[in-house]
Amino acid sequence: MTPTQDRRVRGQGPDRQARLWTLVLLALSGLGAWLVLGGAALGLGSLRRLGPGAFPVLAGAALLIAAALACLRPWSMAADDSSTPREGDDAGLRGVWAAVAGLAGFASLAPVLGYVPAAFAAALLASAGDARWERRGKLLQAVVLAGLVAAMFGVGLELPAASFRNPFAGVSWMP
Amino acid sequence: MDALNGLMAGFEVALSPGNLWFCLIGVALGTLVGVLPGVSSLAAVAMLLPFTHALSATAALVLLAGVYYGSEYGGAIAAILLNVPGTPASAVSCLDGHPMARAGRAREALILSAGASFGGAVVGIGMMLAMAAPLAGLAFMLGPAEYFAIMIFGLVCTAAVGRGRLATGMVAMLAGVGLAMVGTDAQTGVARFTLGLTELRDGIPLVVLAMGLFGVSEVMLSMFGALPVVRGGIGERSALPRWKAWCRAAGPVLRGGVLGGLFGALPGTGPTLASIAAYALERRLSARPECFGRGAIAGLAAPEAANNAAAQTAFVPTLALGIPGSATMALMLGAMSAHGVVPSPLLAVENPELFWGLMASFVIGNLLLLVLNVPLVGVWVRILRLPPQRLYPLVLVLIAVATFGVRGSAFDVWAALAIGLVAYGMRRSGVHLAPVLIGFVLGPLVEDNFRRALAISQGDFAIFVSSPIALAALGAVFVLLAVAVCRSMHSASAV
Repeated sequence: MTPTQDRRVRGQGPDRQARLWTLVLLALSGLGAWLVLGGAALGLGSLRRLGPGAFPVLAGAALLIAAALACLRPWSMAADDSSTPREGDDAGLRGVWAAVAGLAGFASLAPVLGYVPAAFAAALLASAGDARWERRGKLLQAVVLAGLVAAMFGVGLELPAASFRNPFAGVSWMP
Repeated sequence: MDALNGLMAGFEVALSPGNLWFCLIGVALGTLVGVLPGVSSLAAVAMLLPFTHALSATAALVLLAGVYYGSEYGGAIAAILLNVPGTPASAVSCLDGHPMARAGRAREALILSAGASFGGAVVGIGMMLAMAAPLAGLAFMLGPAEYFAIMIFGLVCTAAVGRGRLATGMVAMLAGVGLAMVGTDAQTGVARFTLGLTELRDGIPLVVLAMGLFGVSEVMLSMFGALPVVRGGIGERSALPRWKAWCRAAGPVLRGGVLGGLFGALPGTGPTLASIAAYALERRLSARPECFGRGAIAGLAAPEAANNAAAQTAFVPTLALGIPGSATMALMLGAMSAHGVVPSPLLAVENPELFWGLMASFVIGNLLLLVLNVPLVGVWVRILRLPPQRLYPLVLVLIAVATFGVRGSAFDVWAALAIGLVAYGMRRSGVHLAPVLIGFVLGPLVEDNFRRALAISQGDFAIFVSSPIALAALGAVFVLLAVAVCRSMHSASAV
């Protein structure tokens, strides 16, 4: 890591980590509140015969309490190897965008064109942000990966889904 | 004697061409996954899970287990050559394995580590065989209240013993339990928390959650990270380990194996803590502790033996009690339930083909790993030279297709993406994710046993403390929580 990168990572690490932690705690507290409210609406039953909402209420309440306890010292989260800034953290959110683009592309295209063209698109989208590689290389990789998916999942594992689909003719192909 | 007879019968099952093939595929894939830093055995097991539905239960577990313990072998290769552990459990192997490699003893370190891993695995398998009979005796002592207490113990262990603070572990574990509430209630048939979506009527599929938590978030974190690339070879002049080196490794392998075997059988500990404990023990016992961290053979052999022994005995609580000690074991439990196999202390009696076949496959798999690791060291080194950035699009595509393949539904891919985003946030803020998956798997079982116990006792909570087993488990939970709270308060006051 260069000194500039080192300063940048050290400077941003704890702040970003605390902000993320607050967001995560809020989201998980929301899950806890949803379990409590939703569970109560489903019916708690009696002690002899617990209703479908009783356990979710207990789990949600425990989650809310644990989240409140975790809030007490949000700035002193024990850093483990997954949170410690690693070399390459200066890559920022590029990995997130690549994964979002790849998976969103796949999920949008698979029901329309089949999973093999969707895999091709996902590979292309995921590698799009990699400036260290030529366009031709990315294209070749996407073609090879799509071929691999067709062979492995279509022919080898006989995945019960259309590998190719023609949305205009309404025809799909499944090996 | 019964155990030996069972094991012999198991060899007939494990040596059938189909099972042998799946064992070979599993351990080879596991080694590959372990070798590549940033690709976890957990993601590999999750990806394979939907495709094991067509296999028999034995073949499916042989394959998935092979990936799991194979990755522990492979993890050491990256740790020794790159100083980057392929798996968390092989992190300790960096301390002495990498200095050996830097001193031109890479081949010696790799072969010693493979030998130590094999030795540790054999010790672990021996301990599993010894545990089989006493566990069967437990079967008639366990009712819903005991299962509930033991599962609560497993959940709290996972949250409290893992890395990070107690509260964050509890939050993660309870989030997993909460997510498990989505879907149709098994006892009343009422749809819970489905948001009116038919896709959620059967709950969130385990594969989707595992992919999102461990696969998608890993790609997000590592895709553009500058993971180190191996340069140079393993040294043509690097010598094979001498007889003296094997003799020096024997004691640490045995001690590490026994310690790892004990750690593996405890929920929430697993191979990582086992390897750390084994390293610490060897250092304390050594007459020359100053050699540790500079290429000490005991510093490499003991943690490798420990993590492989733990990888074997981790199957004990999963197979016998249905309590997964780690996230990968939670997936194994998912694979078992998908095949209709119910974990029980009597599994060896009720389903001998599966139980003993799996045990025998561990022996065969570890022999195969020795064959794969020692002569093929050069091949693994060549694979390590692949730039990791080229690998992640492949991982992402495999995640997408495997998730889509669960039900042929794009909804699952969107769900994995959403879970992956939350998991990314959790990992960046220092939250360990294994408790989420374990909470998700154990949540419905805890609920079921809680409701059944209260129904049996007519609503009397005393049932949870009326048997020695339940009382001991809940007492252990109390002690564990008290220790974790004290530790947290102590470290907070020290800041």
